[in-house]
Amino acid sequence: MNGLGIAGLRLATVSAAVAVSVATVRADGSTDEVSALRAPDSRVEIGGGHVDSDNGNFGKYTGLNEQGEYLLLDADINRREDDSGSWLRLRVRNAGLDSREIRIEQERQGSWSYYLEYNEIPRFEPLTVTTGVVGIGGPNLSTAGAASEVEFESKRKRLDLGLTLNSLASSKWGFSFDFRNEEKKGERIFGVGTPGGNRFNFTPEPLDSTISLIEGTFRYTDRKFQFAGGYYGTMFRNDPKALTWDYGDANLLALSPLALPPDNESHQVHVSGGYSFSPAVRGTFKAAYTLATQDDTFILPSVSGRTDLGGRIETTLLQAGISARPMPNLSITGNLRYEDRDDRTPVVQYIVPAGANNTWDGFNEPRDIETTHGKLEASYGLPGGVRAIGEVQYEKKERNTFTYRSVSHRDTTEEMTYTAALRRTMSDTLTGGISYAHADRFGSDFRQNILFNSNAAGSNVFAPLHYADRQRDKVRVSLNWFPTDPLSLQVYVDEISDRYDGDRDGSGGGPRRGEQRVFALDAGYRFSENWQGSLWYNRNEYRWENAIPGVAYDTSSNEGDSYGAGLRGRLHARLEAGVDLSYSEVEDRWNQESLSGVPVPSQLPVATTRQARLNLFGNYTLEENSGIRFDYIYDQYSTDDVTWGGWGPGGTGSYSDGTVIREPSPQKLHFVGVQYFHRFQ
Amino acid sequence: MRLREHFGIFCATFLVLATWFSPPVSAQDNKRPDLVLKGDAACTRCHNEGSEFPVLAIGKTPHGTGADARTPTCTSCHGVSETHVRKPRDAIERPRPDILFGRGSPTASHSQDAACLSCHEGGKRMHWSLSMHAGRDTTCTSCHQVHAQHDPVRDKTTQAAVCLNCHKEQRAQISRPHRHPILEGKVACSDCHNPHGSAGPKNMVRDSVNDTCYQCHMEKRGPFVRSHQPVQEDCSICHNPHGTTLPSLLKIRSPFLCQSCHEPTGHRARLAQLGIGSTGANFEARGCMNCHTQIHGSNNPQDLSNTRGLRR
Repeated sequence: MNGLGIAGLRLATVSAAVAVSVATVRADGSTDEVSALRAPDSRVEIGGGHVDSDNGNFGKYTGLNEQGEYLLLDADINRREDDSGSWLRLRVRNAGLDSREIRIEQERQGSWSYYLEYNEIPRFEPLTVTTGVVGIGGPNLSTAGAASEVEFESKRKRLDLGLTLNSLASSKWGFSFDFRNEEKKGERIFGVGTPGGNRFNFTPEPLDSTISLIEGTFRYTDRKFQFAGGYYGTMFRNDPKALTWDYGDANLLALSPLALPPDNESHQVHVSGGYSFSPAVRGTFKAAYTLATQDDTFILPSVSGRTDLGGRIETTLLQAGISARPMPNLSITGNLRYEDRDDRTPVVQYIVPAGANNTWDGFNEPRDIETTHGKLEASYGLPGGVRAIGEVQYEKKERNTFTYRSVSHRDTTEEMTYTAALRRTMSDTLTGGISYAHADRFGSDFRQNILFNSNAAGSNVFAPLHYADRQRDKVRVSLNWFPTDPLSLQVYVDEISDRYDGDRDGSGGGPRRGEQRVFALDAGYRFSENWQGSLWYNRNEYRWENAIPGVAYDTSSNEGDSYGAGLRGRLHARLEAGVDLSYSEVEDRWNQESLSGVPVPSQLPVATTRQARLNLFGNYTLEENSGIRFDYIYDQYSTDDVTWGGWGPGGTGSYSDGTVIREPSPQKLHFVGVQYFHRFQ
Repeated sequence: MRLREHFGIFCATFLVLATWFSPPVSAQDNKRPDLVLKGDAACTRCHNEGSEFPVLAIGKTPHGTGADARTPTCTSCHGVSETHVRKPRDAIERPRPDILFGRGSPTASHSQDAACLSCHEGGKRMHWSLSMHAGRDTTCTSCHQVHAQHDPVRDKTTQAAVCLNCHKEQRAQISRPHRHPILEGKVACSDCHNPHGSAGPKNMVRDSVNDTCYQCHMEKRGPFVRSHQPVQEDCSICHNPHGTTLPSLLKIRSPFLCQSCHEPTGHRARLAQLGIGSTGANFEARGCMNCHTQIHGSNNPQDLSNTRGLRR
């Protein structure tokens, strides 16, 4: 049951048991107890669990999403031959669940190692889908008329393997090889729509793709100089390439077929290294060149005459940095990073516009992005274990554009960030820091948007959120206070305020403000040697303001409170137990303030999401090396989010084929699990 | 003469008996034997499992694998610590080891790290000296438990709890309904971030945010016949990977997110509203993506029914 995050006491149990058993180590160290203390531990757990009701949220990633019984099987086996330094490690997690994984690893420490891992990552769709669409999971969809509830699921099956050789020509040279093959199969909620008659069809997307990652790296390591260089390749293969449907709806039939993600791949060669000029001065660097291509065959003929895009992106990365302590109390670091993403895809006219005054001309639009980032930081040690830190960062982005656009563009954005901070780390009772940063983003003049064929002026109103001038202020305070030995307190405050100049015409439109505020309080208390407890609270606030001139001033906000409490300890010489409780309540609000003089017809409803979980667990020792583990979870989830509330027949918006999608709320469930565990060496 | 004989017999008998009954001793000296690491006898005579600072469990770890010639000794990490081993007569309290780790340590953070980096400086820790963690006095032992067989930060089911000790904002986010499976241990912080520093931004394990996301979401890479500029630049312009209350981990809900970039002409300037009506179904279900389904890019070269707007 590791995957549920409910096995926190496991190691504490082992450690405590061992600690008790060896409280009296003989002076000569030749006892079995000492051997036991230095030999790796292993553990096997087997048992069963019961979920009392179907749920969408709790079991989304574990497979505990349906009422029923489940096999619980975990193992963590570690064997070492002391004479040779050979390790054998076997880890099995959630073997009885859809989130099962197994990893085997063998190693001759200091010489070689290899591993093999199989991992299943499921995602069970928490929404309920009632549909008459048939062919779900495949490339050709149709409707049968009679609707029924259909389960949606996708699963990644991942196979990893790796090999490491630590001594090639000498102990300073090593090589590592890693390979991953990940198959993803299933289906996901998807749809198409057209304003023509406001028609929307439910067209589930089939998922049947493979991702491969392969990496080989040579390393050189000595006391002063470390170097790594190698190859990193990635590959994506997808099948099918197109999705078709025929629900007898002429408006939507015109959208079929729909292009699914094309095959693509990348190949990178890279070198990186570090050199310690002295114990106080070190430099590092990285250089990499990546070629990414996409030349999958088009699903339909193109008027361009091309049968594929011929996509080709070359990315060059250069990075160099240095850190130094020129004086005992002074540390300086500097870092420079340059990345040039050069999209060399052939520019071809794929569509021939029929009329004038378009915001497009039918050519594809390869995207070049050149990023330069520099950072310089100085840190000076003051009395009392306090450090004063000053930092300057600069980032410049250069992006290409095309003659005709529907989004405004400037060639260059630059951002300067200044940070001042005080930190105290070397103290038994009070550590923490306070920092203030101010960032100013600006850039070149925006280009005029013009329209195809007429070259008349287009709309030139908005600065996109990642292009717009921005003033950012950021304050962060963190304190760790240990007023008495058993009590610890943590306070964390983080506040960011962004002011955008998001309009281009003085209209006050575009991005206006962004805010983020995080407050966290933690307390921990050790009641005795056997009992400890903790409390925590989080307040997260986010706010985004954007204006559409003459229409509305929009404010999106997300405010959440989260609470947690934990208690764990020893109830009896044989029984360790604990409880964790968490609760969160998050509100999303969307406010539209009319700028047209005409009142907004109706405000959007507030969405409130609540989650609560109670987790009880215990370990009862039967014999020295075995026992029973008990878990109980109560989980509750509710939301009144309207995302899918009105989306179906009877609502104002509906999938034209009759498909109804809903998010069940509230969801409540109880889980009980019992496992027998055995420890050994 | 008899006295000398008796004395010789006594000495020989004593040596035989002493050898026979004495505990095994090191070949090099006549002191206590080492228990785990070379030369640890000086330490383990006090630091047994009943002491305030037990150390023997390091034997369960790679650091305690004696057959590996690289395995450190106690003093490799903690320094020779002569005054700690042999408390000076005039000292009231036993002086601390030369290099001490953890909270309240008087050892400078870079000196603590140097003890680890003397062996671990290459590979994924190549860029440590320039990382934000190093710059903010986060030491190796702030996250790692070196003496324990189970180091929580190296186990993906327990790693997040270590990271969230400091990263409080993410503590709340990873429990939001739309998130990565971090709580279930299927995705770990270190799948995306290299806490030891990297050449990429935000300690990304790859050279950019996008390259990191592509490890699992490679279908978004393209390039496409019709591309969407922010998709090509940085996934985090639109998505918060740590979790949100919005589907697809969006930072801002449609249409407000889309209206933060797109010129307000035609349907792009419409109010968000429930249902379809005249406003175009831009808030419910998949929002603007109800029509603009291929928001990450489309490789369809045709434009039937005006579908070039990332619609098919």
